[in-house]
Amino acid sequence: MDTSNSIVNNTNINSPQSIPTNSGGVRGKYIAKYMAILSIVIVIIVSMFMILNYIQIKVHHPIESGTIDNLVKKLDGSDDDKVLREQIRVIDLMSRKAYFSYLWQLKTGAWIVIGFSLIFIFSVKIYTKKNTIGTVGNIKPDSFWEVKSKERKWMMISIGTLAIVAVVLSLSSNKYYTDFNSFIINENITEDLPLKQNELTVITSQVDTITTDSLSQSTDSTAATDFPTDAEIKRNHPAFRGPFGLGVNYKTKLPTDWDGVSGKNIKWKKAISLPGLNSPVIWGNFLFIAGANENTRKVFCYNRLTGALIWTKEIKNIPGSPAKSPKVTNDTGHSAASLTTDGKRVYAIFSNGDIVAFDYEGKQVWAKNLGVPDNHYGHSSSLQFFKNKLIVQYDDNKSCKLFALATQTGEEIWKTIRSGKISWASPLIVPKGNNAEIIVNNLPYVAAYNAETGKEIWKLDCLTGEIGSSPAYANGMVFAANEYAKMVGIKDGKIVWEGFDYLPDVSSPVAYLDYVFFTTSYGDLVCINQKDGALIWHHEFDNGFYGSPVIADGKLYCIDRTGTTVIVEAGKEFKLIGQPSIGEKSDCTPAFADGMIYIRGQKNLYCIGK
Amino acid sequence: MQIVKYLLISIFLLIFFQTSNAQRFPEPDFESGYEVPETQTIAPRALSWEYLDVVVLFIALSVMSWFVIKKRSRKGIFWTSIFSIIYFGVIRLGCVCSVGSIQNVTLSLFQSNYIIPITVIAFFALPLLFTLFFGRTFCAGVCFMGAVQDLVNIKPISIPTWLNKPLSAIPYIYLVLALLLAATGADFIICRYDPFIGFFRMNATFGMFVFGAVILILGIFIGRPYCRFLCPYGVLLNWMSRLSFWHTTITPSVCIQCKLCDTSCPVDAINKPVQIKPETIEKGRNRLITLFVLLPVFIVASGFLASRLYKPLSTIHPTVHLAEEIKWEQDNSKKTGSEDSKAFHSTGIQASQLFSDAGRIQHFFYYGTWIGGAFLGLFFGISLLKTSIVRRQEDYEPDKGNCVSCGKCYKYCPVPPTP
Repeated sequence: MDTSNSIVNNTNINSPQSIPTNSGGVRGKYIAKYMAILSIVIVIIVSMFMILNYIQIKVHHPIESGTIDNLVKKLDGSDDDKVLREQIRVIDLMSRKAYFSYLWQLKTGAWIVIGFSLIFIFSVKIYTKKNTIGTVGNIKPDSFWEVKSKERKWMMISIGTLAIVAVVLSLSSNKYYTDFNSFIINENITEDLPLKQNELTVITSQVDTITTDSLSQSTDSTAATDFPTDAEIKRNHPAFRGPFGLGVNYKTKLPTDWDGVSGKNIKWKKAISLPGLNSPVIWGNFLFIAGANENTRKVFCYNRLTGALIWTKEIKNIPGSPAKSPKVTNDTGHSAASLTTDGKRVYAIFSNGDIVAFDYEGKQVWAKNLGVPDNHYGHSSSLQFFKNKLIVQYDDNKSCKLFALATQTGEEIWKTIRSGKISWASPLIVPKGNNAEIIVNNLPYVAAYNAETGKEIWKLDCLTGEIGSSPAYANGMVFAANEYAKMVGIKDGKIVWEGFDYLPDVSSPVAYLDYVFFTTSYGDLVCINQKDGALIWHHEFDNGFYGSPVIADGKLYCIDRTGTTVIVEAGKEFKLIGQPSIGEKSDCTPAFADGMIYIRGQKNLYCIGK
Repeated sequence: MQIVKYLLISIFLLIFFQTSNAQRFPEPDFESGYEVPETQTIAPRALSWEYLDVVVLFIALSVMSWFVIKKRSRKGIFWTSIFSIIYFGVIRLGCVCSVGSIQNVTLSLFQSNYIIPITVIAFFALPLLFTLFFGRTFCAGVCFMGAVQDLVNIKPISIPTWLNKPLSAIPYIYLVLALLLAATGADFIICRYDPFIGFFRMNATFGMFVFGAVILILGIFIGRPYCRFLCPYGVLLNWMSRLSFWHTTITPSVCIQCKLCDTSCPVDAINKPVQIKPETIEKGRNRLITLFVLLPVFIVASGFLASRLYKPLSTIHPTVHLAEEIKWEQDNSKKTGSEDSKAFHSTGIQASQLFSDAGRIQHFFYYGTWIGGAFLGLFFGISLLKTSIVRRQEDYEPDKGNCVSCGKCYKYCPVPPTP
């Protein structure tokens, strides 16, 4: 304190307001004043010019004047008009000059404005410089806690506000965003899970009380051998997209008009207790579907004539089956792969790798687990059979496999490890005399395998992206496609043509007569020529298609995602026959029997017929 | 006169905006067979020039520290800051700057494939080092952003302490967000939302122009609004400055408590003498204990709340954003038709791979938001604790953390330097 006093005395301070300071001087202030006036006048004038220039260029922009465009159009009709050509050149040059002059003026003007603005600020600062330093603030008596209390209060208000904002944002926004954690592919797992061979598991099942006598008649024909003939296969609908998975059915007298809401031509409708995207398969009067969720997997057997549920079997206690189902996406689910049936047994596969065979009385013949697929959407490749071999396309993020399992026992007959990456497509059986070729799509290949041995016959690198679309076959040609890639026509293991205009993604193409028909998720229905891929016709519908188009009775049946079936003539001209609807969403492919169509909706199974 | 000044600044900013949008003239439709030459990419700046930048920074910091600590010269500080605006702003167009360098350093720590240039490390570390020794002499005017705001601060007004405190939380939030986004490689938001760089480069978008203009207009009345209420680098400088060995003082000798400097600081960084009544100390102590006990609650609650926002925040990352778009296309069976979507599909990369990548990034965001939120909770807790701590003070002194060493208080002190 003594020191302070001494300093105060030394500096001769009586009151703070009287402390003299070094002023800028009258002359300096005078100059500053006029500098400020001059600079602001320049700034305003230049600014005005720049604004006017800007407005002018906005109104009459050289690029958008249209004059040149008009002259160029005029020139199109008289290419030899040299005068006109020269005129265009002159106007083009002028507009370029005008444009770049404008840019130069804008830039130069900006620098002038910046420069003189700075001069103005400095001048004003000098002009308004005070003669005394600082004024004494309005110092209040000690109010430390008062100030701190206010600080605390406002801090609490801020924290509270931030917390409320965070809660509101969290509650309101999180539902709009996807949790991609469930999509993470574990790249560290590279070792294949060992397959459990020779696992024949016959479980004494608690079969629902049913009478199969009335239904057994249709299966008698297959009793002589353990697998059906091609003719028998064609008489039924034993797999996804019908016989051999080709998408071509041989049923007749099919309805083209129905309404799920009013019940028109709906013979029966049954609620399905478990979700699934697999399509119905039919043998004789038996109709099979499957359903599953995270905890439960079931196969349902219906009397297709009456809709009566003959039996329901839950798949459980399968050796090697994981305790917890793998994560799948809602648009694939735990039971996306369609079943197949050979007149003796029905075979089903689920997202956790469980594969099972039931006889037609609902007795589990065999069951095994193929190893939990590392599949971020969920396994969806449908089953097929050839003679006594159950064909399983089993692609996941670790490897791509093609199995042939004995239909009687589930034993592995052959296994082919394929190169390439995961796909969600289903195999196609192309009968070749006593043998057959299995056509398979995966990334990036379309490949053919010997159905008896599993040996690769040919392989073509022509696909990209996520392969959901299965191949098609007709007249010795294979057709494969995927969205954002291309469509190819393959003959004798060689690409004959490529197409890029319209491409299927989830649904699969179908080849019939001289045409290939396909739908897209965006609502396109397309017909192209088998021989060269040339577009024959295209029609755009309001809703996208996930279910695959199938041929039946010479017509093309395509179910869109709303459950409306687009029925067109399967020919070279687009002829819409009808657009009946079941009245509920569907991503499945219809199954056919004579005079009947079976459609699986999101919640119900429909039998349509007159 | 004042109205004219503000009008002038508005016009000035408007003109900047008009010049900011780079426009292109369409390529001529040549019919003569002339082939337009390929666009030439400008060669990167020579490394020697980058080293020169570091040397200039070092010299500017040294000179500024000398003016602040030794000479106590406001004029010296002012002209050094003018030099910084010209060199780091006009010539170097604001890049590299120390404020943005935090992101490069963070990215280099989390992304092994990112090699951070040594010059960027220097730009990050040198100001912190100088601050540790001399206080925030970097902020005084070596930082061109601070210098610009200092220049327009014509009519400074004081912000009440109770308002100043909550506002000072914003840089912490901004810092957490910037570090999180930089660590994930999502974005360099400090650079993207730099309010001044668009002016120097004359390429500001409309939004950034408005943002910059608002900061500058606010800066006329409120001293350095960006430095005080936004700058994330200022958080680090604040910490360093609190530990500084030689910090500038208001008085060159001994404070005589004449109160002349009371309202002199444009950034409200003068701590005033405090006299506490003994009977209030007990009350404050009890509150302090309560707040101290609540500190872990603040940390956990804040971390939890922040972690709830990981999904929306993660969409700032271009991969997650694209994954959301592709997922939407899949779910709705429609194409967005955006360039991003087209580009992605043309690559042939599987959507599953994209989703998997997005999942990993979201995973990072989840833990990042937890840590960042907990840090903010710690900050809030400590800030509340500080409101209950008695800080005895007898003189007018600069707040070492918040003082930007601009030297504007020097002239207010009537005390001559000690001989």
